[in-house]
Amino acid sequence: MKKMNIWSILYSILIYTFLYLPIFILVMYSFNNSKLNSVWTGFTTKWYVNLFHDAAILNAMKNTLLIAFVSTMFSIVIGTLTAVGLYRYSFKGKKFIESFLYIPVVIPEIVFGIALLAFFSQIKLPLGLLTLIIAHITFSISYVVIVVKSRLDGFDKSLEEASMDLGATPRETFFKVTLPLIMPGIISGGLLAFTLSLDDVIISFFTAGPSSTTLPLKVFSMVKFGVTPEINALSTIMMLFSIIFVIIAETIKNKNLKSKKIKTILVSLVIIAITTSAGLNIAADKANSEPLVLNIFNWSEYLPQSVIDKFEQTYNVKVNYSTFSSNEEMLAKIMAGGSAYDLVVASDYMVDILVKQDLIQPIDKDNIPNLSNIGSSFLNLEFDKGNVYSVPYMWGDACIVYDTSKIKGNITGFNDLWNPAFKNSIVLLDDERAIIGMALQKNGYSINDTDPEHLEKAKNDLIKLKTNIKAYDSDSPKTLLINGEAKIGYVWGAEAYLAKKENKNLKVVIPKEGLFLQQDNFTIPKGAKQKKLAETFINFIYNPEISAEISKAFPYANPNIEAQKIIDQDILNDIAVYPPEEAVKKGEHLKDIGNDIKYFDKIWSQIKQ
Amino acid sequence: MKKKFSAFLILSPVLVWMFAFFLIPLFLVVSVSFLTRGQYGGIQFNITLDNYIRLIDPMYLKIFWNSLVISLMTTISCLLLGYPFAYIIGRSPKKFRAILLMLIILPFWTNSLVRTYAWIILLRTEGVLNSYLMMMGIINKPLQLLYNNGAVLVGMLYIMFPFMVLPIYASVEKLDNTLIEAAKDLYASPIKTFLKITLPLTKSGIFAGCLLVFVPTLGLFFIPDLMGGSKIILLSNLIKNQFLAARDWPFGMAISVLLIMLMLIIIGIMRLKGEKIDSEVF
Repeated sequence: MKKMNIWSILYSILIYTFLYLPIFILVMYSFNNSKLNSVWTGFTTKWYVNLFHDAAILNAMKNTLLIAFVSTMFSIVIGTLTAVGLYRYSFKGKKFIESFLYIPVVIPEIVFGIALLAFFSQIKLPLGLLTLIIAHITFSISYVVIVVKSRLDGFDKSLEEASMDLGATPRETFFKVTLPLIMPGIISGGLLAFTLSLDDVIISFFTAGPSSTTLPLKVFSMVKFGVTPEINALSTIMMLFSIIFVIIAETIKNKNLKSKKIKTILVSLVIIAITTSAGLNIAADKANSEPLVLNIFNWSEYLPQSVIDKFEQTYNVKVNYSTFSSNEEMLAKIMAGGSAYDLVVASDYMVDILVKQDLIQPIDKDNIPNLSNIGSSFLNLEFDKGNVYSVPYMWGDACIVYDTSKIKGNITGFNDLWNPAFKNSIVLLDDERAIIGMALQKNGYSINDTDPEHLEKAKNDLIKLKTNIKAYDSDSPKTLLINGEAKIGYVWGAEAYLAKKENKNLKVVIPKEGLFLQQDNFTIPKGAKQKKLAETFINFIYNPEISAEISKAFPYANPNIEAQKIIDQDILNDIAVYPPEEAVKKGEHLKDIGNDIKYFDKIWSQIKQ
Repeated sequence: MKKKFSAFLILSPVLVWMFAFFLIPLFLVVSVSFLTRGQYGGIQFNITLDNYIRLIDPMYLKIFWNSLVISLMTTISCLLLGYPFAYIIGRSPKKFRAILLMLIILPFWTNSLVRTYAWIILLRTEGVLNSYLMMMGIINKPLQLLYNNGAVLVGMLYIMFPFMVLPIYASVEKLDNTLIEAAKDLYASPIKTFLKITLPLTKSGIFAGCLLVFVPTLGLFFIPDLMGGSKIILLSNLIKNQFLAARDWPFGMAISVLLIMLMLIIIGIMRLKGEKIDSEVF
């Protein structure tokens, strides 16, 4: 073997640098003092300490590794057999099977996720680790087949024949000749399958149960408040472990255990898998053996773990808390059936849809005496007259924020966004109802207007606005405002509040044309197993102290009048979170607009095409 | 007869598995694409072709086209950067190979969202790269590196890179060195050796790599959303929106069915072409 030449080495270094550049950044930011991953404020190791106290993240980590190991092993075995079979034999329908095996790679993840969810609920298989593993094996097999088959292509059949001629059985031939020869393909395919499984979000969302959250799901749900440095710390530790693992595997291999090599690697893999999961188990499990389990489905970053812990201790129950990041995501999961949730948080218009689709049941308000703490202006709203099916959780608004150091002059409403001076400098929510609604409000119409003429006007306005837009972002638009990427934005009130904390130049404006309001509510799905306990939980949340604790953790507006007495003045007086009363009176909640949503969707596609 | 039996035996695990957990869900997808959206976003059992007819609209065609272009560009850049890299790794001294390979995949065991955010920290206007370049005096005004097509391409390239490198590695690794030596002995230029020997012999790896990059790229939406500022709608966004905004499952399923068919046709053509090249070379 020739030595590598200098250019090869340089090129490899360049590529490895490209691959490790972001890793270097995230390792660095795992030691950053600021919670937001944007500005370097000083060195700390507190995220590592926090991480080991965060049972939810550790548990998610455990699930993720378990699923990845098991699904990779299965898909390697099935995939390799398939590739060998397809390579060795020709028969009728072979082309068909080959093409069919490409479909799992081709099918959009969300479609496959929903289809599997519907399928699992049809065969009454409860969602959990098992369904997740099945889903991951299914999409991994194709990747293994494709890679192993490309390795087999051009494979020298005479080697197999020679082995048989020398008296080896087909089994011996396979294990002693074929397998070692295609090993690089199997390893490559297996690594891809493992990587895919570790990272999968969408299919996992739809096939996960209330107690089987995986790490990517957890990370994805944290995006709203920026991925915390805890995740960076976790990634750093994982990276370190992987490197150690690779070094150990290499050392074992170089000891020349040849025939036992594969076995050794497999055994060490299994041992490492078992010890890590056992270790994580000890760290993550708090030995819960309580009989009662409450399954809650809520927006991500909306309820602090401390409140859940207190509820668990007070009532001696276990809470499985899973999250979603949009109303529609939640609806898709509830609609496909098989969901096992006892308590689901839904926004105003979504409550209406859930009622019309017959997915939720009336709430027994006798079990919620603390409902009297809730302000009357948040009850008996249009989407659920008389609060038969829902009771309020939190509420919020959307407002304009701008950087006074970059924009001189007065901003008063939506109309100002069209100012040609703001070329390529606006961040907008990535939400078709909110943004088309904004353009409607700008022209003096309701956000729920479906008049084709009014919509046409809104569309043309939004197309004109395109040159001013830097980015659409619903998850964390504050980041762009904090680090100066955008000069002006239309964002959620809570985002505006947080952005202002980091960047003192930011100023909030309540748009004069009208206010977008959103109220989130507790609902109980049909078929909930713990209805009474869910109502107890709602009542618990309505405790003024508990409610104030939630407000302290997440800056959304609290409808609990008693709790407001103990919430910090600083946030109560912030117009981004608690807009002035007259503005709220003029504000509007989204309504379900039925099939007219098709027009909104088409307009949105036209604006963004 | 015996052969048929063993073919069946070796393929039975995949057939049973895929029948149970893929074919039936796929059947659900196809059948829902012929139904209609209910008033409140549910599914109504009216059999119709409307969902497919709706797709014949210049707007959707343009979205299709844009997505194909982005995927194609990602695939080509992955191939151009990845092939030489996979070749170098696959031809490196045997004792280093495994560790070099593992070093490629390790960064990808970190959550892709976390890595994408790291890219954003790196590339934004007041980010690491700009500060560094300014400090070095190379530029005096920060470059606008994010929220444009270039950023999307870098992000896509980064996320999909190992899917190109690993299959190519697997096929380069088995290259018979004697063939290359023979070509050299026969005074073939390095370029000719590459075109006549190396390339045809690693063709299946290239095919697998392109497939594993091109197709999933069509379904990626968080890179265009995060690094491109979500300013253009791609096929993946369009499908996602049908489920998560318009709540129009039948239409979403119809777009997906069309996408699957189109991809299978493209794969079929590519494979036919590949076989043709085969017969020409040998």
